[in-house]
Amino acid sequence: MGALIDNYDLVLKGFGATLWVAVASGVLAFAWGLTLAAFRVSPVGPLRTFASGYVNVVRNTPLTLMFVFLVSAAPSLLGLTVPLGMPMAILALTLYTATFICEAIRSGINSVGVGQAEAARSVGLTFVQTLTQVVLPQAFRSVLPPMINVYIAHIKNTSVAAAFAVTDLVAVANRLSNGNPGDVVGIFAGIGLCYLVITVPLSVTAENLERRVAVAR
Amino acid sequence: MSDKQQVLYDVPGPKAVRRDRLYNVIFTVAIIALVAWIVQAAWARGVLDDRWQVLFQGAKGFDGWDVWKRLLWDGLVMGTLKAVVIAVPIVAVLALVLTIARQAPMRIVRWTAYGFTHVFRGIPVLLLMYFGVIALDWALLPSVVFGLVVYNTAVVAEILRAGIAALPKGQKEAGLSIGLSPLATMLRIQLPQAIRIMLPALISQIVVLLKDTSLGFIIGYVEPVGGHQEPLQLLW
Repeated sequence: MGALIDNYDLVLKGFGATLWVAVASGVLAFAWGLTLAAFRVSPVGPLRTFASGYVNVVRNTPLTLMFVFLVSAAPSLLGLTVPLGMPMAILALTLYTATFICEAIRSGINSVGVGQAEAARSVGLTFVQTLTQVVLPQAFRSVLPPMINVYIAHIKNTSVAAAFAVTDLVAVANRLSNGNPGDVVGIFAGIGLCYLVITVPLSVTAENLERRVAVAR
Repeated sequence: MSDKQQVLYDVPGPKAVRRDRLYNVIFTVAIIALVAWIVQAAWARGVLDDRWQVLFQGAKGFDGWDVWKRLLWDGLVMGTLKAVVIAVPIVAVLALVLTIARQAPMRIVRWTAYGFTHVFRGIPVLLLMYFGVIALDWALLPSVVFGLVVYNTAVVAEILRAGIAALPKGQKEAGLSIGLSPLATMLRIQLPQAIRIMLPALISQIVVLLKDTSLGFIIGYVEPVGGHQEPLQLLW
């Protein structure tokens, strides 16, 4: 632990980097995931096909592959050169996490009673109105616990960015343990603790919410 | 599921059918145009010419056979699948132990198990793998398996606990009332049913485990994502 306290500024920087990547890509992933979910339930066939294709491919391949793709394939294949480091980490995590958010939202949409959407349609609301005014607000409560679990996984996934030139907590752990071979266990315990500070409150909240939602049903 | 989503919009009338057909055409054309543009741009950048030859002829002293062998055999079979095949049985056993421990009559055992699940669900697998390599000074395969096992044990135990909680209370009571011990009730009545309910979640957790082996690439373990590196570097 001593090495962590001596290098607290480095740890703080790593913590900030992890948090920043997690929050920035988390917000973007929510927007993209919501769009994908809307595509997947929309009346327009090609959008459905596109969204389900994208979700199934990205969701079933590792995040590392997304990074490797952006580093080595995207520049020549798509003409898209993403600067290594933060921008790439945020883009990769956005593209990856959005698929899980899409699936969480979609299962929430399916959990809203059939009568709700029927009622909305019968008073003459359009598809977009039905979705945004009636179904999604009700889906939100049952989506929240799984969504929090998605975000917990997302926060831990930011660690992959350590291998792609982001100085996040894992990179800090690596660097410090190279410099202080005697204190490795303490360093890893401390860095692990940093993650737990973010994730445990979330997982406890998810568990409590799950209980509340279960009672409400 | 599809008929449930159908509820979100009406069965289209003649006007809507015409409109939907228009949308279909527009979006199909847009998506095809996008793909065509990407392919065309990639063509212009020379992606489609001779660099794919590496998959058949090889380069830099490899022949095509070596490239495929490296990808499929060294990477997929001896890398990913080996790690998965070693990790999954260990996870299964440890998760069962952990699940039983979470229902144990002794408070210390219960709380230790509770702490274990919550702590190791919240730590990145990558950090655990690095811990194996750097702190425990292990070889790469044990480190990869270690990271996978610790994390997935916590998650699978959590899935099984949720499965047990979802069973009707009468199941446990019936087991106890015919004279089975609490452990036997757990093993012979509750767990078999819980595993059956939770099979979809358990299988998708195995998929997660399989995907997570790619983190091994970061610590230097050979599997397909990393195995691609050498041939791919010749490609791009």
